[in-house]
Amino acid sequence: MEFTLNHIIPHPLNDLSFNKESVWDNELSISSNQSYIIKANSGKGKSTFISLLYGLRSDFNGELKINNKNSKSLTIKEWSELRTNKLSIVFQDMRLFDDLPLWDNLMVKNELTKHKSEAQITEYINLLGLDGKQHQLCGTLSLGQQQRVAIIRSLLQPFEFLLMDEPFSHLDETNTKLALDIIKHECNNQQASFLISSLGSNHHLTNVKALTI
Amino acid sequence: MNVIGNILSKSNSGKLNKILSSVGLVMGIVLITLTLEFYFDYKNLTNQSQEDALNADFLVITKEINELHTSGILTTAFNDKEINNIESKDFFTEVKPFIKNNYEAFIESKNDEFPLKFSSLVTFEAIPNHFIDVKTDNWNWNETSTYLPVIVPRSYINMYNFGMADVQGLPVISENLISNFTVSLNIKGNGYTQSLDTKIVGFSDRIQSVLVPESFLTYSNKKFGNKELNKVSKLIASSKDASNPELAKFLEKKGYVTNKEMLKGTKSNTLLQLVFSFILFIGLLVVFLSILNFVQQAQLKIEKTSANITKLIQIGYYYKQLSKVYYKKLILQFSITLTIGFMLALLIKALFIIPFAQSYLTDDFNTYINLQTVLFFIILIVLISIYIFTKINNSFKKLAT
Repeated sequence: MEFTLNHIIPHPLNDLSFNKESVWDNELSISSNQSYIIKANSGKGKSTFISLLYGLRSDFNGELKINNKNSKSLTIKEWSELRTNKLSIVFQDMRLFDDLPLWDNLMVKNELTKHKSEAQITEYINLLGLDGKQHQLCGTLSLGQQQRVAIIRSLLQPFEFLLMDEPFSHLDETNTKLALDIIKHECNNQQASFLISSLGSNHHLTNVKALTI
Repeated sequence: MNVIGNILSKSNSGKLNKILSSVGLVMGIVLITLTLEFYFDYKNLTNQSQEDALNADFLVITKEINELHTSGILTTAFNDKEINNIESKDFFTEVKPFIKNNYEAFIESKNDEFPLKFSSLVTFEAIPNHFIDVKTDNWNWNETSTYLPVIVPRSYINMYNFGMADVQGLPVISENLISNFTVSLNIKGNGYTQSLDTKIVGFSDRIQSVLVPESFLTYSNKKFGNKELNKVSKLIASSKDASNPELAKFLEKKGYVTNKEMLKGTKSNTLLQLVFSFILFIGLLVVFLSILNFVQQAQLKIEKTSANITKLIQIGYYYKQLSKVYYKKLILQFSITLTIGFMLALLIKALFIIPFAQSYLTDDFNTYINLQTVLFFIILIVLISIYIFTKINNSFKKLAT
């Protein structure tokens, strides 16, 4: 899977100027045989960048191609197929269903993709320290727990690229490492890569390409 | 799809509204079904009675006589163009001219059996046999026949029995008795004369003319007749529906007159159609408003769960996968409600209307469901399902874009 960016500038950043390395107003290729990290302070446009790649925003100038196809010409159905089979995401705000139990929040994705067995899902829950919380409403979980649920959900589908928007912002070092191990393992299994945004930490990641915002 | 179903049905508002919509829908369907059933039963009943009744399907058409006809400026005869024009109208199935004698004919009572001595100039006519409402084996004539069969209007014998016989103290005669009498017919023209015996073989309620077989008029007109008098001034027409308002309008516009009795149903028929249409309109309006309310309730529910729907779309669901859950449920709900309304209407018909109609109107009242009503019901379900499908799908699509 390949994203080709050709002088992309989001409308809210139209009046700003960017340096040569920036992902904005530049020619850039992001390919699924390489993982990436974007480190920047809050408000620099990390979430905007991930939203553009995931097709949640189309308010930009320039051209974004996904597998050589203009992102703005993709149909609703094509986006849906991409998000089910090739492109996964961990949202910064998780976007879980607060009034559904943890288990249902995961099943809602797995029912769509039929990617994992219930035993595999339970294993992820246990590995990330959420055992015993399956029937607890997501809205009542801590932010850290919710973040781990969102990470598990993102892995319940086939993907070539995993976008993660500050996925560990509420996790401690131990849980971050556990989550990263699972993510790397899943990426290896699927021969996929990821793009992660972070406020500053590189989460001890090696072999990842840094992108500047 | 269990989890999806849970997410999409999180908002459970407007239960009272849903109940009211369902009641409205049931009432509307009852109104529509009963109106359609009434209408088609009425149509069937009137069509049936038209087939059965002696006069119903046949019209005798003449021109309206006014001063211009009296003074000879206009003619009472139909020309070919006028006949063709009448024949071309869809509301007539067949139009034929009355053939009349165009020679002098004279009848006189033949023997003493007949209570009344009489003699008179006569005119008689012929029409194709299938237009005649008297069925008899004696209705044929050829040059070797011993007598000429004649059909007279039943009103003639009534006029005698209940008029002349009373006033002049003469005995009344039955139809059977009169058929035994023989009357002499003398005809002359073109230098020939002939005398024939005639017998009355039947009485017609439909035709107010003295009728003889066509074969006799063809023969006698050829031998005795004056061709210049060979004009058509009276037509007989058959119609599938003599109460068709278009037919009455056509006759009025052309200045033709017919046996008005046959057209008496026209105005009441039009009025009845108007009433049926009005009730049907009200029924459809009630159904439409109920469906509108159903759909608006659903749209409100979609609006209330829009955040969850958006999340589902963002994690990969195609909006049609989601809208399907919604409109399937809604179409099922409304189909059940619609069927309840339909069954209720049929129950009302079976329990109240059929027994009433059979007691007070006719034993032949239709006890089956009219096919047209069922078809209308199916078309209504399909149209409303398409409406619901489109509306719900569009609401979801908006959230996906």
